[in-house]
Amino acid sequence: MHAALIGRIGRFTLDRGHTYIHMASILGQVAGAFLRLSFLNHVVRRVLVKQIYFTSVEAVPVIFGSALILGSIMVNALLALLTSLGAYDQIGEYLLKVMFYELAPITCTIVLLLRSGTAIISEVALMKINREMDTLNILGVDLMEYIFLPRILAFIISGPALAFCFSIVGLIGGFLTLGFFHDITFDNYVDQLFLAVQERDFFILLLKSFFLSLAVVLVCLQKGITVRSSFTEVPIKLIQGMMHTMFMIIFIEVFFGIASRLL
Amino acid sequence: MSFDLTACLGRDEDLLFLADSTVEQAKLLHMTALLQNQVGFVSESVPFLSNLSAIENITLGTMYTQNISLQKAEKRIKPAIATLGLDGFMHMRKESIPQRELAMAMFLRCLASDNRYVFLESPSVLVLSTVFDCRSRVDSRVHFWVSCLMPDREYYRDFDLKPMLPQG
Repeated sequence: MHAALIGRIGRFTLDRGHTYIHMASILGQVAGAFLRLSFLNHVVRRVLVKQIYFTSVEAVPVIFGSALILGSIMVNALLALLTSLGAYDQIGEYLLKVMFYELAPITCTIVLLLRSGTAIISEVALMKINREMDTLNILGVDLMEYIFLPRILAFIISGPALAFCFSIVGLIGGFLTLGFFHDITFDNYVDQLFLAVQERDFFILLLKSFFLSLAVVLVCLQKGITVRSSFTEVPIKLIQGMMHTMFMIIFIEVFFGIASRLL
Repeated sequence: MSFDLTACLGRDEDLLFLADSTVEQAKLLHMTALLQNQVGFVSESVPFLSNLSAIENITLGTMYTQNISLQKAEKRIKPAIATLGLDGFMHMRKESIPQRELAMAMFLRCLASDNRYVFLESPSVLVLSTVFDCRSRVDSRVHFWVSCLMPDREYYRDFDLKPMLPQG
């Protein structure tokens, strides 16, 4: 009984360990390709532009829509609470912390995961199953430069950019939709935000979004590339990718929570 | 048992590789794939990328290895595209291109990559006659390496292919 349990734990640890080592290996090779300035190659640049378009530009309506809805809910709830307590001077600080530290990075990461992460897993897996990667090898095209580098760059550029847009739309749009019900004017609201905002808030917003996006894209690429030869593996890898990414998001959340307390 | 590909590299003639088994045929394909710059492929085993158009697939290797733009790579292969009458198919994905035109586009990929030899794995007679026709129309000096199983050699008797047997 104990031996079986220990065996299962050992198997789980080895599987997870192998996944993380593989992800680290992908990251290392992509970093090498980045330092060689491979993204300046015409082919790689074309893929990068397409990936940035799919990941950021096409996600803008979803991000703006969710920023307005979630921003309204958050602004409405926090304004109601803080104005009832008479804590007018705390409004800016609380709103910024909730928006910059939690709501924007996590919502944007989930949107990226659902829209682009799933697309990456299925696209890479199908490329492998359909032997398109063999074509790339035969044409002398480096897989790291053609497949991995543009997708990773697109994610780590798009994640922070979308989170920044989400924050601005959420804070301003949130007040414009429901904020007028509260005992505070728009001028006063904006003043409170400007008084409370610090460089550190932007730094944490961008850094957290960067790491969350990097985690999503690495997990998705790793899951996509480890498909062997069967189409039936694709949905399994999709589910594994989703679960694994959620675990990584929680881990990064906890890490940033502890780090922000210590700093 | 295997084919001596290095001996074949200098030969200026079309060859027919007669394999005893599918395993040997697969091995031949892998060995040929190692000769990246010299051998191109018109084969289902080396398909076009499904998220790229035909012209992007044809010029992909050249664009990447020489770091040139699509426009520049397209300009080089444009005369051959026009000669083969493929202009209308260049912005289509592989799923929308008929088999004959797809074979012609794969042949153009070999021309764009400056391959000296074109490898075809058990091609249909239609595909083989299409690429022979393409070669004469664009006045190319590439040579064909066709692989097939021993019992299928009769299919290719109408083509001037020098039979090659595995050695060892």
